[in-house]
Amino acid sequence: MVRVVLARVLPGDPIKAALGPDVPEEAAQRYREMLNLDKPLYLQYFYWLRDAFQFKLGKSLVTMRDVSADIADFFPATLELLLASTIFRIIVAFPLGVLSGKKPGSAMDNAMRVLAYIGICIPTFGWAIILQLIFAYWLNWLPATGRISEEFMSIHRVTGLMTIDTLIGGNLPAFIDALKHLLIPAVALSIGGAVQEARILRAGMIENIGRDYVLNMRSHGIPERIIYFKYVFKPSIIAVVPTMGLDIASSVGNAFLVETICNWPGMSRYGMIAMLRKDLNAIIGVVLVIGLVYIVINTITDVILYAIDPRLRFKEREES
Amino acid sequence: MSKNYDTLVRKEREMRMESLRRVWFRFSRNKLAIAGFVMLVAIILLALLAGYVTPYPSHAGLYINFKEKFQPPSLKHIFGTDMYGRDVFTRVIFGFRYALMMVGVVLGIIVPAGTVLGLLAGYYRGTLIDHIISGASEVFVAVPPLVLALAICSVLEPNVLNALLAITLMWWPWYMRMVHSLTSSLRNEPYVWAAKALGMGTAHILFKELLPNMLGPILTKATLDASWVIIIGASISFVGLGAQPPTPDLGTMLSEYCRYLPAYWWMTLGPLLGVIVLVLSFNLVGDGLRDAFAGE
Repeated sequence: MVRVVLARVLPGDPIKAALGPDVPEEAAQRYREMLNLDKPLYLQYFYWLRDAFQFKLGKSLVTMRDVSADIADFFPATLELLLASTIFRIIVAFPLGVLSGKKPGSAMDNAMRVLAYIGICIPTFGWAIILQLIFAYWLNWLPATGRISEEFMSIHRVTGLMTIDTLIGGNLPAFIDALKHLLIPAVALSIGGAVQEARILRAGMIENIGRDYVLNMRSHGIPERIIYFKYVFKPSIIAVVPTMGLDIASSVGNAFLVETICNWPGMSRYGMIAMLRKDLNAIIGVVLVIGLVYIVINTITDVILYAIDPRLRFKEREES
Repeated sequence: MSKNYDTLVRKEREMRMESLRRVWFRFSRNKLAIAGFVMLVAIILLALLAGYVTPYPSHAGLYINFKEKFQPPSLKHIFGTDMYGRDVFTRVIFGFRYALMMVGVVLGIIVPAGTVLGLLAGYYRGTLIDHIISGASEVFVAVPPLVLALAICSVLEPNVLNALLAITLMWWPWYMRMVHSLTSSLRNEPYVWAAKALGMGTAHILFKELLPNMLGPILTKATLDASWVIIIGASISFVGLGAQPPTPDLGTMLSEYCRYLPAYWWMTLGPLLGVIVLVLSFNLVGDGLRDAFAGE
């Protein structure tokens, strides 16, 4: 809420940004009246608050469409990207963490350590550029930008998620094409965090394998594989999940850059364009939706944590 | 009484120095940390002396020499030249200056401010002061930091100063929260009670009793955060909301140069390497500090 006031008080005339600097004063005035910008600040805030609860986020000053309609159009693409990057994050972080935790000091473990440092010091947009350069321009395996090739543009929109829409339509080549487009941005968004999470998982595995209960199980002759994957892996994930949740939540922010670089037609790129044009309603709308996504991701993280960590459940039972 | 007190104070100071020496010893035995430290010192020196050590200092700002544009990396131009014929290597070294300045300003503001606010809120946990400070911080942590910084920058004029302002605004809550949780866990320690019983003022308890015991986590976080400041600063100028060309800022350079991908890829690689080296050295030092402080 403070953000709204902040945005209105700060300099930079949205009218000038929308209509150009040489706009005649009358036209600017009419425009202002249309958008209630001539009213006092507290009234503007009140109007905005009233509308926000009805998901009326006002009109975008650039596209002249409802911001909520714009966001509804662009959000599925961002959601698809987030989901894909989460899946990639999981399939990278877990196996790498388990493998490097199995034999600390092995070649695999050392390679992991180097990877982790690389992962942390290349920013997300750096990954996007590097991946584009290598896989799109030099090797020509993947398309550099966009969401789907032109020949598949007329895909029937059901969920708005390209990959799922193409699957529903049974159009396999289109599905593969969409997947290929998805790969670079999704990997760029998640790889830096994924190697970090693998490191945390590794530390957890090493810590847990030295515990007394593992020794006890070994002495009972329980197969090493079962000990490892059932009784060591499970408690080790608990440390990873909160970090992963935070990383996924902050990748909503990094999506701003990745979507811009990869020309991914998602909400973040829309927000980015709005920011460059000082389109206040659109900025506030996008920030609001991202705040919501942030809360949802954090809630899901808490629920997952609660589901996999019996200690949390027992604690609550004891207290009640 | 007073003599005894003085000896106590002296003894405490000696113990603190001793502890710092142990930290330094552990730090200096950590090869990676020392590597990072040396890299960082080298970068700072390079940045400070950028005018003298770079081959073409005039290429940092506005300079045009179309005859030498788009030259691939060679001995003359280590990272090649850009679309105006400027030496990319020179510009990257000057870019360090902006990145380090950003780190200095942002951390110089948020570390003291966040620490003081966190101490206050943590010490007076549950009171009005805590509610006000924590409430204010919650406004800023409800949205991913980068989005908030971008949003703040977008409503301001795009320049370096406002980018600094945006990063400072979005980052202080994280400090405040860390110090807050440390303070609230330390405030019932016996030594705090003892200081209270001796009739020490609140300021003494906060800054002389509590603060020295959190130096480790604060320093570690500050070093690790330096790399985040660099990345977020570069991100802001990358999208065009921070420093404007021809400022030799790493993010600005990246956004200018990556338009010439894939044909002139070396231009993009230069500033990218700059960011990577800078972030890596801060991270190595930060990890080293954390390990060194862990035993205290």
